[in-house]
Amino acid sequence: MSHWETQVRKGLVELAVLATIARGETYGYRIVEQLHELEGLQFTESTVYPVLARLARERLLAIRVEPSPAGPVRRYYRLTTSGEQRLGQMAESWKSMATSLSGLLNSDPEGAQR
Amino acid sequence: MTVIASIHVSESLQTLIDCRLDTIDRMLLGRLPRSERVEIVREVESQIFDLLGERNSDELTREDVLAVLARLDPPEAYLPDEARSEPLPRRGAATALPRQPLRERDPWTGRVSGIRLRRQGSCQGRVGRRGAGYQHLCALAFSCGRRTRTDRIVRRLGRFSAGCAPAPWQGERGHLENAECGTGNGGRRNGG
Repeated sequence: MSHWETQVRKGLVELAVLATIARGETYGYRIVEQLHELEGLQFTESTVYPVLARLARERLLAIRVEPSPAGPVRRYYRLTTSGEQRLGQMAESWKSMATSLSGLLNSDPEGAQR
Repeated sequence: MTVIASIHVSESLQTLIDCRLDTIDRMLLGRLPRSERVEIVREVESQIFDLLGERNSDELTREDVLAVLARLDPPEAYLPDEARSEPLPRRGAATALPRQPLRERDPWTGRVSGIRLRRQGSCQGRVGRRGAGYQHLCALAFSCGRRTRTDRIVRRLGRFSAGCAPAPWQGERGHLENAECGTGNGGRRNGG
């Protein structure tokens, strides 16, 4: 993977995590699995878990703890009101950037010079 | 939907898991607040048990745990990009003495210069009645950070005593001279 692609993905991980949790309460490993199914967003646990911890510290995520038969307790995440606001802001920025960039990439270079 | 059976992990297997978790924690130490480190390690532990629960075997073995650990990101992946290019601090580096090449002298008299004998105490417990030179060789092996070399030296000394091999300081001279005193970590490496 190119350095450029790595940098882009790194900038998007927080948005991807927030958007995943916005679909419904979920837990860490499940988030990793869900993202892994999406091409270009295959973040692994070493990327996702630090972001989850930071977002929880910033109170953008609320945590519900539930016993797990498999071992230690499982921590379910959902967006707080602040988290929803942050996701909304990030989503707007992303859409704006994506639209502008798509327009730039699809424009006729000769037409732009006229 | 994945049905997860209750998992019983023996003490030794739990130690294996804890070792990986501790290594991840060390990678994050000083870079993230403690609360975040704890959160991350808990998530990894939870994932390990989820993965163990997906296995079909009735009884959990060491191989099962190792296979699950191999599926995880290595502990170094938790370092930020800029830190991954830095050399990891070596265990005991703060107290390490300057490196000196080993110079061969008479190991039986214990006169081997340039060798630190920080592990000599533990060697004495094992070979205490075999003479100072023997202990120094043992200490040399430990201080070079290669535990297996102790066994090789002990075997070689045994063969030498029986007249089946040349003296330990003969024949493997280059081997000894090329060794350097390490950090005294007993050959253990960082990492899970």
